[in-house]
Amino acid sequence: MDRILTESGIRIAEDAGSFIEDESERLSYTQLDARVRKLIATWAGQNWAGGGSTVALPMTNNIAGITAFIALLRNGVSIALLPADDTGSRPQFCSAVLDPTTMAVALNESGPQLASSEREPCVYLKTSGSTGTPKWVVFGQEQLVGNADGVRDRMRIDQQDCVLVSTPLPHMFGLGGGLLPALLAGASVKVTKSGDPLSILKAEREADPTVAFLIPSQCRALLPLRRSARQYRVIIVGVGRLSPEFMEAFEKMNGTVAGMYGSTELGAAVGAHPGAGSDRRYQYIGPAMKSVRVFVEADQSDGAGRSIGPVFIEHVAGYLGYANMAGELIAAAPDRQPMGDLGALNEFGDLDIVGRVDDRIKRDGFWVLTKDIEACLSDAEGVAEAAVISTGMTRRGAGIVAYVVSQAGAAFEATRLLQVCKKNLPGHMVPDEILELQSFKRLASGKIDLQALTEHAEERLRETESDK
Amino acid sequence: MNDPEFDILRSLVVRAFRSDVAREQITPDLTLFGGGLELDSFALVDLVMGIEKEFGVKFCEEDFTIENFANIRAISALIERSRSEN
Repeated sequence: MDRILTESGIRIAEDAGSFIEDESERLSYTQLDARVRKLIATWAGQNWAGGGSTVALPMTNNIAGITAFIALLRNGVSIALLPADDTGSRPQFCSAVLDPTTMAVALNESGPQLASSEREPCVYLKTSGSTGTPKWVVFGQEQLVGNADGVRDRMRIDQQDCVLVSTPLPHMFGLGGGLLPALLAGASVKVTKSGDPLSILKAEREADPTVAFLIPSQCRALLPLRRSARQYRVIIVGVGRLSPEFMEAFEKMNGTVAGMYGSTELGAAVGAHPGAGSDRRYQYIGPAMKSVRVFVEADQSDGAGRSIGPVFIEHVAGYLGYANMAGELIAAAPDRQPMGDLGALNEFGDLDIVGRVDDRIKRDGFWVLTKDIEACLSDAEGVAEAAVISTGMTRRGAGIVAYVVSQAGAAFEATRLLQVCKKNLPGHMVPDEILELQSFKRLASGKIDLQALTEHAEERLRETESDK
Repeated sequence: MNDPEFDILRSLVVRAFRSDVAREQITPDLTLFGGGLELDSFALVDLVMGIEKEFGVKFCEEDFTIENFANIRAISALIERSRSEN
């Protein structure tokens, strides 16, 4: 990532007094650069340069992880990023694993031993698996920098900012959304290992961030603990949406919220202008980033009369393609990427996401959006969170099963919740069954694991049928 | 920390944990975050709200530290400090 930590970039950040801080130390940009150089020299002393090969890097949100990431790329090494706690799934295409605690490189005896070509180093990121089996996505340096520059530009991040990154760096939102735009801008960076509210509040006391990258569940956990207003310049919320009502309440205590939308493959494709009015920011995520075009192939109307349909995105700084287990590109990125989401565009070109294409259910000849049922149940008394999936077939069409997690101390009453749905939703949208769970299993991204819910519902269906 | 206070805090932890964790399993020094029960963010919020309601205290933002919520003994000490400051 030479272009992010160039000499001129370091000088700009130094002049502004910018720093990189984790939970135990603070470095200036020059000190970070020195660490990177020292690490490269250490590897050279061990007769390991690694240029042209691919190394697995289990990456923690700390200075060691950032140092290792930059040093590998400067040495011309490709990187497969893994979550820090991922100790079992080393990709076969990696010739070595870097231990970010000791910075020692352990060669993978069963992996490829030497570089096969003088290729430009690339970065492999794994998809969350929320829509199937996780896949390795390949990015060149140009794509990562281009994507980061789009975020920096849209969110107006500069060297006066201090950017809080408390989402995992081995994921696109933490790396491409948070860390790389901040480094590119020469801003100060504060990283935390955990994204829990105690860690966020501690980071605020230590580094006084002006920009934060948060996911919706972090916002929902943070707000009840906020006792006096603390105004960020902008809080960028990705990997999901906040309701307009919640955004309004959250902004009063935390400052401007800007939604951001994208994927592991495309990085940040859409984002609100922090200076846009609240009406636009609350109802829609925002317009396309620079070098991005958004298309909605409208084929139905939603409850508000908006034309909605599948979302497609063209991103100049998107991904190169998917990799096979040898690390080679097997499927080049299409020019126009189907996002698998349903969206609507307003007159400004702002995008709103209304659900997943797979989450539309055909009942009684109507399209049903699972998020509308989830919203109804989430508003019901005693419900903390709701998720809806489709399984089996009923006379009305595809079956609908709703799962809820009750608020602490609240009793779960399926009959009452069904009545709430019948009162507030058209008949074809009322779930066939409402079940309670103690908690939702979540993906690393923080999203509810809908695949696990579907498997649970299908298992119940099989048991019910075998009992007949 | 007296027995009734410990009982209330233990109940609040069980409720926040939303699981069938046995009350008896919860000791004053059991780590609640990072290595013990692994309470998540929403469990923390439920626990804070429950404590404030049951004990009639109002924490300030500086009180929300990993150390203050490390275990029931630490929470009890925080409640005591909060009472004396209010």
